[in-house]
Amino acid sequence: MAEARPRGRRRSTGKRSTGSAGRAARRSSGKQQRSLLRRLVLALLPIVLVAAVLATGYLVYLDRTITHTFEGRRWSVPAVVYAQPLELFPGAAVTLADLERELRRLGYRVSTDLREPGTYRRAGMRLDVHLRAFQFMERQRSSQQISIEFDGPRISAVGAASGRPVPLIRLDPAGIGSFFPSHGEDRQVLTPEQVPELLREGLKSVEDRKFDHHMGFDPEGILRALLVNVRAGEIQQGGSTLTQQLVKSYYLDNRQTLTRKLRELAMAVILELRFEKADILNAYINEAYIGQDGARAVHGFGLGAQFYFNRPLGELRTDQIATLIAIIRGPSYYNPFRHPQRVLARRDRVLDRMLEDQLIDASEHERSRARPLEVVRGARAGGAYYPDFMDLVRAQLQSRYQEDDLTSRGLRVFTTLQPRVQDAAEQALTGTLERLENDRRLTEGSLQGAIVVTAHQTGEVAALAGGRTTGFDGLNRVLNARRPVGSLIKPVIYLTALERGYHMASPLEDSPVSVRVGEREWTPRNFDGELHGTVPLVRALGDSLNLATVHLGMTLGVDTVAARLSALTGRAPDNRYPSLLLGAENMTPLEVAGLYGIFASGGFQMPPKAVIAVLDEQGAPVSQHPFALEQRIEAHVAETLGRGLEAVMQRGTGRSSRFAQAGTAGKTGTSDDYRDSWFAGYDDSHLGVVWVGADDNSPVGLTGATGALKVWDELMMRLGVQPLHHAPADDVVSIEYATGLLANADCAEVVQVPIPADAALQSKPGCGITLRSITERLRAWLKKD
Amino acid sequence: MAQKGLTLIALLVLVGGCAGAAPTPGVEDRTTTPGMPPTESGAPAGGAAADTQGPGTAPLPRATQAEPAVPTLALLQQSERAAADGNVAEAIAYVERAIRLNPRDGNLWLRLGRLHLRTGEPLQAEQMAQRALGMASGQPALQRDAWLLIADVRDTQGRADEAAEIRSRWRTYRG
Repeated sequence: MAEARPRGRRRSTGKRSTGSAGRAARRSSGKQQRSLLRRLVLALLPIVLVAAVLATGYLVYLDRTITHTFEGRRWSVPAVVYAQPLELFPGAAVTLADLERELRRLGYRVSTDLREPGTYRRAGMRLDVHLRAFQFMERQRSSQQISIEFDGPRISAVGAASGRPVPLIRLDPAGIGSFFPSHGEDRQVLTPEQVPELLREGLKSVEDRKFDHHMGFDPEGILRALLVNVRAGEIQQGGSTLTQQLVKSYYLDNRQTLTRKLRELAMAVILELRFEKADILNAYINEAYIGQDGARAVHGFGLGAQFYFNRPLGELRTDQIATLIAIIRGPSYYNPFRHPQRVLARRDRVLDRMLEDQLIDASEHERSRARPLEVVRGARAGGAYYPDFMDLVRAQLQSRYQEDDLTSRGLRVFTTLQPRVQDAAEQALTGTLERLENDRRLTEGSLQGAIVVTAHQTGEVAALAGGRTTGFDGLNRVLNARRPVGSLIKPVIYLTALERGYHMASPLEDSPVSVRVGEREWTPRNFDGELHGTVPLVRALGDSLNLATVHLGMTLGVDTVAARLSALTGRAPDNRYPSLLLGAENMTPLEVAGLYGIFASGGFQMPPKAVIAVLDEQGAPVSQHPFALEQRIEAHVAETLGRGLEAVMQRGTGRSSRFAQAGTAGKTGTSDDYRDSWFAGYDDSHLGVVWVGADDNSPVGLTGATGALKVWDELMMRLGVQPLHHAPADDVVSIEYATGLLANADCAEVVQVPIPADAALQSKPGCGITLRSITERLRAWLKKD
Repeated sequence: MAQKGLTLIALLVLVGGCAGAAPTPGVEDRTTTPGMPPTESGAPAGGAAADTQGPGTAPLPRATQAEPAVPTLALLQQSERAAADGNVAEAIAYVERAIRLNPRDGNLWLRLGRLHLRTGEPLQAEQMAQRALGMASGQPALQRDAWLLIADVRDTQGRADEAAEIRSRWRTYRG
């Protein structure tokens, strides 16, 4: 404001003098010339002044902008997300091959001397590993050597370097992604101490030889580049200093206009004036664009080392550092996955330069040149990037954190993901869908699917895949696809019945039923179109009989069932009509996992959980995410229902499963016209929920058993089934599945179910219960009183 | 509490004795930093020699059958230590880690419940006691301790009468 007033005065003076100069023109030409000059100066002066003021203002603005960006981004780090680490202890069900795969996933490399962290070697049935240091949730673990011995499918011993036994030790957890900002830019921020000297010197040597002395730009370099470009008729050389490149990467603008160049230059000079060379170089190392991973732009050498070599920057060899320096010149032109020869040639030139500048000696130069490129698509090869699971992590963190916290505070998020289970789930889903399409001559790619796996005793989500090609089409069906669940809903009705005095042998009528809903008559039918007459409750559940279920549900009351469902899911069903009883209610696979988690855990609700802990950069806990449970079903009822779901597998709609008789439980679900194929099933440790269908909701011709169950089978094949565990119980008896009569396994298809001791059961003629079971029941009955 | 502590110590001594090495070594976080010798007295056979040559040729001590409990005990020990230092959140993290390894061990849920009572979450503590009860079939001591935890929960809820009633019923329960 202070400047505005004098400028205004001058301008008014100018106007007056313009008038007087006009009168003077009529007097003499010499005077005229002088006054013309004066006029010109007077006319230009304000413009010059204005320009100077504007330029100063612009520089101030540039200074603010670039300084703010530099300071702000210096330590602005996306939250890094980790999977669950593998626990190693004697007796753990981990094979040598499992552990070796896991080590490779983490970028450990084979070495005979184990001198460096991040190396391992195999000696017969033993693996010696030099673990990296890692800041865990509880505390820092220093790097150390351990040995793991195997005995078949299990670990038989774990020992420290001293030979002392180690009761329990974790591998470092796999990094599975980070919350980079919405413009898709991911990076790791390194401190100067974490950056190898060779990288710093090599960069200067190759990209900006005068870095240590220039003021942010290099006139000679620019001239040289200009000459080359004019000669070539196109832009071949940038002539940019590292400082200019840093500025360029801040504003992600590739247009090569003159004004942009000038702006960049000015900002580079400002940076040089304001900050130390070392800080600028370090910022460059953290900032430079170094590759592209789908929608994710990979920035900085830290993440670059992980991306190209699946290894921390500090563990890279000379040739690998040279490769990164080669790539940084133009990550798409020098894309080592696409143009390995081109990159190799440039890497060798970088190595030559390093030798010339005496950064490496001749033998190191020779050794390094002899090495192949050896880039591994670390992030892909190990499947170490799980965008679908990350959706759940983000959703669960969003209620506690601002977007800014996640994208810039350098938080470290420890999650429940188990990479081994995730890999199994993805393979099971994609493999089975391909096979189903083949076998049924369906159009390739017409089937879609979703799978979520939890550790049901804790509610922790071990794996999640929201589609066949995870993360690529953007639709996460586990979280967002709400589809009719069909018979998956039935256990809720049977649970409601059990809580109201029914038991597993209670007779139900599987007979025609017709319900008036408003103006219309609702007449459901059984899946097989048959009527089954009087059946025991366990069979109505096991065979998923629609008519028996509707009769039962109508007796209990639709509202009662709906209320029970909302108590279990925390959400009132949208459908309050009798068709709710047959699963005309939409749920997401994640919601189904929450519901079946209650059944699998003996009645405790532990909502599917993805986050174990969040630490800040210093390793201090930022928020707690402990186990949280709430009993929703009385223990005994939950046990009974669980036995019913086992009967589904042994005798009912799940009996086609490879693991039907292996101690598993579950339920199939099919929606109208075979549009949705569902299965939810569990063994002693994992619950898997699978949906198969089409995105456009067209019929896919699959039942729960012919579609989703196949995926689940593949999953369990890969995980290995842990048979369900039952505490010894007095009230468990053998009844014939078809009739509910007491029977023994020698002469009838029986199921083992808890029946209240006072329930009057009849024996199957000629196949009655054994003396032993009579005395057991008698004892139980006596005990009850 | 004192009695439970003693039980744990007794268990640890027992297991330590079985493994043939003095106190159960800690989980990895407590092992030594590079270049620092282990602090345990009575290093097992082959210790000193193996130290310098790395995990070399000497066979490792074999696992015994009872060992699956060892990782759990090591974690519980860590948890105890953290709790004693007043770091209940860390103590909880250790018990949760033990539960991940062995989710059907009602004693672990009971311990988790006790820790949650300490952090002022009686409702969670009670749920965890219930969870432990669901796993306590045939384990009278666990049943008793779970009920005694519920009694403690009742106390914090100002329901002293109920607490007293539970205690009088369960304190001396032996199955």
